[in-house]
Amino acid sequence: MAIRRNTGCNQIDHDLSRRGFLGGGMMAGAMAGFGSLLSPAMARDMKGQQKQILQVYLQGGVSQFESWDPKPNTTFGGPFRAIPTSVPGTHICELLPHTAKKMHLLSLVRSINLGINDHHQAMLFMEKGRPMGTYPYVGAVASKYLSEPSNPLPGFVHITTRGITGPTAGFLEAQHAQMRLEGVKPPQNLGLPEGVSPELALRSENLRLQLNQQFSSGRSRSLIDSYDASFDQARQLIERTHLFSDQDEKELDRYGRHWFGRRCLLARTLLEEGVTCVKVTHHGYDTHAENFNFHIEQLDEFDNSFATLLGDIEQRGMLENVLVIVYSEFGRTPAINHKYGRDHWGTSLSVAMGGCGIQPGGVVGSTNADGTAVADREVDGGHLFHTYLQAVGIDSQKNHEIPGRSIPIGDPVAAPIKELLS
Amino acid sequence: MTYYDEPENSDQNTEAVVSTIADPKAAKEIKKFSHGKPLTTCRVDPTGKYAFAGAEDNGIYRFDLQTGEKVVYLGHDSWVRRLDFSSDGKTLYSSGWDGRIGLWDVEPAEIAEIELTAAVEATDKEEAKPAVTQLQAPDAKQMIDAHQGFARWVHVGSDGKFVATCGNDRLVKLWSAKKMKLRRQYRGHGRHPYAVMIHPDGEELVSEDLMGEIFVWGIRDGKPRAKIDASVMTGFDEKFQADMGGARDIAFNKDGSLLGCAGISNVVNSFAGQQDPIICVIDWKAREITHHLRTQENKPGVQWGVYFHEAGFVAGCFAGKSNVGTVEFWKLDKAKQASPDTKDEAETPPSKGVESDAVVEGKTTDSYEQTTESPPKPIEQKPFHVIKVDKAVRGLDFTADGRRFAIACADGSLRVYQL
Repeated sequence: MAIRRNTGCNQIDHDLSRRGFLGGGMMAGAMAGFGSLLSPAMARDMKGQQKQILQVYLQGGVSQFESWDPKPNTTFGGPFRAIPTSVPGTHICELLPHTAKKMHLLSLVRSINLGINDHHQAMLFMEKGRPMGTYPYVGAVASKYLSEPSNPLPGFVHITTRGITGPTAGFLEAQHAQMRLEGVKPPQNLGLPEGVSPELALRSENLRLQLNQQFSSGRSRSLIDSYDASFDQARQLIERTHLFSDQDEKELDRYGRHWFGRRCLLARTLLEEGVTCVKVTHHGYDTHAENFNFHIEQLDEFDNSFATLLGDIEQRGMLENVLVIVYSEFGRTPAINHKYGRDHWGTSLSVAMGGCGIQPGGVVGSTNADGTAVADREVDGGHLFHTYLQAVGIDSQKNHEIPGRSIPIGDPVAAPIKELLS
Repeated sequence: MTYYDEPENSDQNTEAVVSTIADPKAAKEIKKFSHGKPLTTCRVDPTGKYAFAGAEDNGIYRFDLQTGEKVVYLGHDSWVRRLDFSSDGKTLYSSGWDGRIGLWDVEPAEIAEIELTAAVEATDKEEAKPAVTQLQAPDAKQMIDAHQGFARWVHVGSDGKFVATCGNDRLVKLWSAKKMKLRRQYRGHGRHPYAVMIHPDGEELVSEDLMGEIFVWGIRDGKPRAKIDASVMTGFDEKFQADMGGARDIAFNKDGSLLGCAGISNVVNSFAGQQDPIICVIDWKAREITHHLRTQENKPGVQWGVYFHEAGFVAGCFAGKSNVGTVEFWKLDKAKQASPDTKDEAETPPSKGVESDAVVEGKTTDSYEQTTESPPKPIEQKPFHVIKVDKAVRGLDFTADGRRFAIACADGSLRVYQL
């Protein structure tokens, strides 16, 4: 049996535009159907556990020196000091005082070597667990294997205003691709265009369904169903207007009234609503110039908002089922350039994670004294990918079952970081 | 107890004869001293004997401008951002990213020679190596935990009575110079204040923050008196969603009629260093920006220095995005130059001061001058002379006589020029 290949569905990537969703059924014509990709055994394993993921993506490459792996008073240490945390013996940068008080909920991996210094390629490695090839992001895999079929909401929501876009579902069904929200507001272009009455919109929708029905005649229903599901998910999300109405003033006082604080508050709400994977992007870490001033500003925003969100997740009893990940596509160079900047560095970086399935309070691996290289327990994006999925109960060493082939969920050359898994 | 501490040895103030015929076009590099790490700032002591520089290794380095002898002052846990001197020139003040203010002897009684690496005797395979030593000054006379967060600036008023500091706790603080007792703190900056100066008349204080908001504070009553909009010196980077700006240097001219603020403008992509350097010159009496001093080539980078020379020109130093620098010189358009008469007679007379040690809080909830009319458009000016430097320049200061200046460079060199 010939393998039917994806020929373009991933361009959709759920930017949640009306045009995109109305066109979803039509786009299906250009794509192959995969049928039921979920093996029954895996489905039994994964469904019904209500596991969720919160990804906090520090876009641009947060400096490991100025965050999780400070090296004060060393050659490349920069001007900031290390502070103690709630975990005895573990220190992080002084720019994260609020997070430091929550470190007993998190663990650190300080020995990541991606070997990639390009934003896009490194980001893909961190998201897909493979340095190249078409594979789904962590969030898409989570959506696929963790979302309840009865859950009307999208499985993978990304709150961001910009950033690299690309296919996030890989070869999985389109409904598992990220749905992008541009901040705390309903997606643009989903309201009725000026001059279009509800009646006309209903007729348009009926026409779309009719075209879908015609198109699907004699074809596999799976892909069209997938797009229909995507459309329904978007509609369900939009109909929950309280998500996008004014945020509670007292909560904003706690989270911060800046964009990132508002996004973190929305992330909490989306998790409470049952979205399987919520990704929040905080921009502004590509600090080729003014690395230190920018980290002061950006991490000041991140620190309080993230610590508040993490604390709320814990206090609401959700942390047992929510995997929390804070990551970047890479770190920053040890060398400080003439602009007080640090450049791209995929050779030794750190990630923080905690919650569901993760042993808290740990530190895995280390860098050498000057932070120029991994000293022990070297891992890469593949190991992290396995670890994330194992933590939420997905056996990453099994396969995606696609008609005609089986594709390993995690890169077979990598393995979970066992010492992190509880 | 009096409000003021008497300035230390005020009768011994160093008063150099300032050259008013200095010609920047005749400037030549006469000395170049090297240090192993990039320098962050520099100041020349009032006698003109030494230049002090901060470096990216937490040290402060004193260079003898004649001999090149280098002495390290250790005590900060982080980089030093700014240096200044007591009015008698005997004490060095330093502000560090560790939030502390250090007070040091400019000429300590004893300087130790510390062996960093021992001498190596010759072997069959290796030649003999001498011991590596460094000259080290004694510990600081005082180290003050001045700010929660980073102490970005320290300035000693020209009368030597007060020291002003600011830091990332968003506070501006006023200290007695002699005992470093906190006298006042000023709240109002919404973002981090980057620099603060005491006006030469000793009555007012000026501070500028990341967003280009300049506050003028009454020193004695602690009240905000005016707010000057220098938002031209900041920008929101839409792509990276962050603000960048603020004063990288700040200075008054001698009579206090002009204030200069050096920094950046026209932010395009500050994460890559893509913005224009600028010096804003402010008419102190009118509280208005009168000049935008631009570099000759307007290449992207940062203006790290501003200095009003008594010969009538303004000097600035520039660090380019591509790691080259300049020292540039401007003559202000006299038609726009402010009157030296800086004080408004109708201004509230200063109070008699505070009779206790209580720290007085100034807040911006108090009323202050606010300009309602649109200020005139500042004059855009290019320099009349440029000295090119092969590395980015991060600091500039002149000797008291105005005949020499020193620059701190990103390659760790400290260079001295003769006018």
